[in-house]
Amino acid sequence: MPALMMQPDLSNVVVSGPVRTAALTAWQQQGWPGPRVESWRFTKLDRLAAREITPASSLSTATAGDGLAMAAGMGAHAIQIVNGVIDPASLEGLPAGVTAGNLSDDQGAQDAMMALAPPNHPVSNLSMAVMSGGLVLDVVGEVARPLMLIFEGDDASLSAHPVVLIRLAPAARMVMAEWHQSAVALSAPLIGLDLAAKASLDFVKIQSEGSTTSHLAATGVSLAGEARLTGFSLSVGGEMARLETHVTMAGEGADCQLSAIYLGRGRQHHDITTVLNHDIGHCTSDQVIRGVLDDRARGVYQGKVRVAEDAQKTDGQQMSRALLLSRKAEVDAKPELEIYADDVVCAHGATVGELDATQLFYLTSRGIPEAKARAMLIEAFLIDAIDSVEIDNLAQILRETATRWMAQTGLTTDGNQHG
Amino acid sequence: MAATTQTIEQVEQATGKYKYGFVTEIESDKAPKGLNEDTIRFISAKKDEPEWMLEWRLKAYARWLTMTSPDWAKLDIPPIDYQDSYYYAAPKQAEKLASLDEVDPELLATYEKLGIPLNEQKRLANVAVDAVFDSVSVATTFREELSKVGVIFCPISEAIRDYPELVKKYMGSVIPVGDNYFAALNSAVFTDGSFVYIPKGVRCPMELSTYFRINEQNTGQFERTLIIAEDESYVSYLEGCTAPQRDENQLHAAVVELVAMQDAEIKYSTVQNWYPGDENGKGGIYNFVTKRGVCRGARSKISWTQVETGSAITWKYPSCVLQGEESVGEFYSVALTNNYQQADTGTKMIHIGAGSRSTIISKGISAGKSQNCYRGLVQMQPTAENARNFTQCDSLLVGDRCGAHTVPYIVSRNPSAKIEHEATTSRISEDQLFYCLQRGIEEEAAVSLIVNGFCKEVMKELPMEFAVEAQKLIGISLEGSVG
Repeated sequence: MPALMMQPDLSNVVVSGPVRTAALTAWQQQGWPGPRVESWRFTKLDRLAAREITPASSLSTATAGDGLAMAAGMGAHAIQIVNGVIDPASLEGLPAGVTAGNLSDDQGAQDAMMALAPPNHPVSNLSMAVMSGGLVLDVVGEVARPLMLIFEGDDASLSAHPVVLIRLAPAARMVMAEWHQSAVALSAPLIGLDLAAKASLDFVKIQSEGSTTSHLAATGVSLAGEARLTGFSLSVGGEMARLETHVTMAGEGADCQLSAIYLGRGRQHHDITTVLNHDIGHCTSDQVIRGVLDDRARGVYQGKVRVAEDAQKTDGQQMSRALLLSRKAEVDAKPELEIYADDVVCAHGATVGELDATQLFYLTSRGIPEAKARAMLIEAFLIDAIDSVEIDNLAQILRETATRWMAQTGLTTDGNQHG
Repeated sequence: MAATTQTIEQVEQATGKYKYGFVTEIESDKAPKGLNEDTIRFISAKKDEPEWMLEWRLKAYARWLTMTSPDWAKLDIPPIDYQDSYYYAAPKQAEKLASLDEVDPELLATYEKLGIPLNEQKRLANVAVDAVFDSVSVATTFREELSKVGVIFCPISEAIRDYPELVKKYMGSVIPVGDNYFAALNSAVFTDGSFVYIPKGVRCPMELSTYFRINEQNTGQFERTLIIAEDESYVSYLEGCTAPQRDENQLHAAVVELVAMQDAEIKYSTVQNWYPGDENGKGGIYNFVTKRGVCRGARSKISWTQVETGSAITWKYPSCVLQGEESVGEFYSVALTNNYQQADTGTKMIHIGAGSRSTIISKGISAGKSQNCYRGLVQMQPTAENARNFTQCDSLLVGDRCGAHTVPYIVSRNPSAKIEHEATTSRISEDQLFYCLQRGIEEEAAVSLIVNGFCKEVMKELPMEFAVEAQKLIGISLEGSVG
């Protein structure tokens, strides 16, 4: 039995309240999962676990990266979370229909959070236990102005554990973004999205952490009857990132679109893990995943669609495609169907390969230089997925981030020498 | 469509009783119950094995003791008491038999009921059979004819004595003793199985076949098969299994190793019809099998075709290690579960050689209260330049109390390698069912017809006589799943 991987060291920590105490106990018993844990077989945490880190608990000066500019660009209200601690000043002047509460002393909200959180997950337990900052946002009606949560922090000896629970009342509507740009050692946000009947949420997450940051996110979602979530994640930063999202379809007619793009270079490791629980019938889910990997980067997609007994008339679709640009890059995929009802339509597809040689030939034969042709094909591969985002300003920040990554990787569709 | 008509008849005739659930009353010679070093020494002594073989077994046993039973499969396996089983059971007989006439008639009658072409008269069927009755190969036919072209086809216990160099060289080279829990167990206690050696340039003149059968109560069947195809050779091997009806659960942990050299081809077909347990999930075989082939030479090919309808629990992943350049791996599978059966089966395609190709076609059918899971790995190593894989996994649900699961693992470490994977899950189309019903075909027959259509891509890969049997089995196995 190998020693448990336990960083941060919480052996002398005492937390308040039964929910956080239970989470702490669960963490103490398990630590970080080792490579023999099936759901972590592609993502090893030993490097992270070897790093000495201290959970952050106090606000430092906000570093104000690109997030603020992005928020301004999309006319969003920005809530700043620094080292995982909520900046109270940024909670002033929230858009009409949104009210903020403190999660760290709200037992009911903590219970609700743990009910949503990915079960038995190290981040669910650890971040609930040590919670750098806790926020509850209650949303009613149609919120006119988008909301952006900006996660920052610059102390590489710290781990950030923000816990944010967002509850949409029946028929509430909101557009929101998560922007992650910190330089802490570990960024471990625990996010809960609880959508009541007919609520609707358009949601984008940009993971653009610093190059030595590990980003381990746990997101739990519950959709009541006819609720709709359209989520899109873009994982581009960090040294190692895992974006894990668990969705439960709790009411008939719920619809969940959950797409993601991961872009890796250097020795980056990106992991997109999703679990879609169709607990009830007549719901639809659709996932589109795209990955581009250069240098020695590694990309992982694990997607599970689970259809419970009697969840008839379920439609669950998954499509993951990955492009390898370098000989040393690696992609691992595990799309999974677990089905206990018979009247369902579920499918998944997965492809891995390099750029299509015939497409490349087509473009070069028309006088487009090869480098540009490659960039065009990669851009098309990504834009195709981003185009499914209906909210313009959300699509815009995705497109900008993707284009910026391409430029940094030396893939540019500009500089047209030949026509 | 004679076979389809036959299937319908078969379904109509079927009474829901397991056709092969009879017990042959033959006195048998057993090892003492339980598993320890002495059991292994007993087996080795019974088999009159050389010292090196015993050492190999003991090494495997020591390894097994340090291992734990795998728990990653989507299976609910009750704890197995390895001390509550016999590891060796042989039909008692006075001496070696010179011809088939000397074989216990009761034994022959058993095979007759199973419909195995063992008799001399059945020579016309052109099938050589190495029949494994519990632990000992009782008779081998066609040996002479095969030996004319240099093909060795004999029980593995004989091969250990007669061809020790070949056995030493290849046994455990594809599946090492410590590969997994069940393979280690098999390596320690295997009692018999087949050995096939096809020399260079030889196309085996007939299809080789082994019919496995578990007869004795409380015995595990641990057979071990090793097939070696030298350069430019070809062999097609058929394996079929049945077991009598019993209330206890019996363990079957086989190991099959295939080695294909340059330009060689091995086609391995299985129809697995071990006793699945009754409609309440009582009894049935635990089928925990490790099968792996290695395409060692350039342009070599290994093709696995399996029709799995039996066993209470199946844990089986016939795999290909595609080492040779432009080597080819294929996996065609039909897995059907009914009542309380559980199956977790699939394949692994490990691409190492440049230009290697693999195809996976898997058809899972779940009925009753069964759970059926496809689990497969496609891995492209950095050396697998321009390798290709195509995978298609389709699941069909018959009834609303069963489960169909798909768990593919895809690992690519070479950008020029191409992997395509598709999976779908659905139930029997109501349109198709309606069409059959309104033409007067009964519901059960219609379901069998539709399911056979769903499996057609795999069935066509089976040798003729096997395909017919497999179609019938699917009809019989679905019995009681509708209505």
